[in-house]
Amino acid sequence: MEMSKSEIFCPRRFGQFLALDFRNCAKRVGLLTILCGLSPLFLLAFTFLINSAIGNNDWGINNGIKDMVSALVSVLYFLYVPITCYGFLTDKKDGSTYQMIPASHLEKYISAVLNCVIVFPLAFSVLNICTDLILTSLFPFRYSDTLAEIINIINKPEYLSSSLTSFFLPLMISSVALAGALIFKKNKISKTFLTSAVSFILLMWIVTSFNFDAGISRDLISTVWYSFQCVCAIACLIYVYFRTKKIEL
Amino acid sequence: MSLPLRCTIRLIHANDMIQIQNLGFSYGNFPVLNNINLQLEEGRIYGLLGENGVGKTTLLTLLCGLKKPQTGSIIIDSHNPYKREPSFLTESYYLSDEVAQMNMSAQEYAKSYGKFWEKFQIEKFLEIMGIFENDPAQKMNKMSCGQLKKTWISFALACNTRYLFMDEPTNGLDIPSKAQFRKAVTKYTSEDSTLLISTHQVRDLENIIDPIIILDRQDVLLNATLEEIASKLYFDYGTEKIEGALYSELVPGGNVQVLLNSTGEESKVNIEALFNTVHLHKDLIKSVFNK
Repeated sequence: MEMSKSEIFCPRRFGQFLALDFRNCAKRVGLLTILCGLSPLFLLAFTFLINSAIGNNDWGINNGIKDMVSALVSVLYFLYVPITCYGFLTDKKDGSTYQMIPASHLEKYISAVLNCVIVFPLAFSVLNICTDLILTSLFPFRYSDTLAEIINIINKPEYLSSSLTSFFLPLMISSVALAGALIFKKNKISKTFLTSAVSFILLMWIVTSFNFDAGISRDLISTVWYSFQCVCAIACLIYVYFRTKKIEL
Repeated sequence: MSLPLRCTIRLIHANDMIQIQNLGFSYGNFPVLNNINLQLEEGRIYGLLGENGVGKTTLLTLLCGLKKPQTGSIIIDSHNPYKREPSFLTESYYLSDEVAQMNMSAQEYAKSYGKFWEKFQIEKFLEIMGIFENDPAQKMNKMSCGQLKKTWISFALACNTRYLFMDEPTNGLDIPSKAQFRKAVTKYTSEDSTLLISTHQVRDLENIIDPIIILDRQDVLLNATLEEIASKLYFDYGTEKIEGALYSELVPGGNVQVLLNSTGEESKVNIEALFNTVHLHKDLIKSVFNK
């Protein structure tokens, strides 16, 4: 028997569900989003305290440290949010309450993807970049470049290669984390992190085992890397779609 | 001639019943349900009884669509529950044995989630919470086990669904709450609602469940109304031992004994004694009730 359109997607019901789902996610990761978004402020405070303790007044935060801290906080955040927001889906008690809400599977799926792959990562990124921009303009003598310049939101030719990474990488990590939230029953964060790390190392090992000709351009390698990120994100999101559709509790 | 309300509803929804055909389900290599056939009529409160591990919870989760039948089929109101279509979900509610603790007040939960069930009534929720003497402003994750259970029961009843599946709803409830539960179920479910309540505490529900379904390992031993049961079995509450009784148990003030009803005399069905009789004489009971 064919399903009617309203059984698959009803805009009004979707709106209601998205709002409810967003509120629940905000309760779970709202504070974390603010804290992680303010990480440049914590980095500044930490550096200030360390240098004050050793009596060094001529200190600054270089791009390398800033980039590394930002990357670390971002990866952990992108990994943590989907698992915290939707890890309960495999839980008998909480998962069945969610599954029994009268909204279609497509509505629940789109809501989950929007929240933990787009809305919250975007909110975190905007807060993070804005905090850094404000701090850099308040204390220009402590910084060389802004985070926005390093990840090439503000164009700088020397940072061109990181511009696409800043777009695809969050998408891939969040999608992998969402898939991890549904694959693993317990210790979802550590298992997802370890699996991703091992897969990444294996991939790098395979790639480097090929004897590339010197003629292969850096652009081609970048293109392959971005394509991989994109394919990986799509594959994870497809997995999430079917896993949530067929989940049994 | 006008038909009584309950009969009228039956005629209107003649096809709208729960049909379970050749249902099978196993956990790995361990079969739980095998070739189960059941038809549940609308407007009744079914009691689902069975020993531990016979598949009561599994059957309920299959009925509400949380599990997929491995063999056979379940059709509810022309829906396949496992598809979890919104039009089915809005007409059904599954109250699990273990209920979730939400990080919000009961009233807040009811307001934000209730709107997804078309017939949900917040006033009814608050009324039932009142019957249970539960505070709707209290946070659900700060409630005791019993208070939490009563909140979920109130929500389930306020959803006004046509199909309500409850797994051990009286577990964790104190004595007054059990009476309040019976009152709430009889007062706040509509005539055309079908309830399936799994329980071990038959005395908690003795006066509200009818018909009775007794599940055995991979089989349905009994699916009959109290009227049918009373017509085929006789429950004697005297002090004298009766020869040929199928089951006999010493109770304060005498015995409860179960016999085949050969005289057609009416008696009050004792569900505990019925359950034990059915388990002692599986084949006999099946043949008596399948005639």
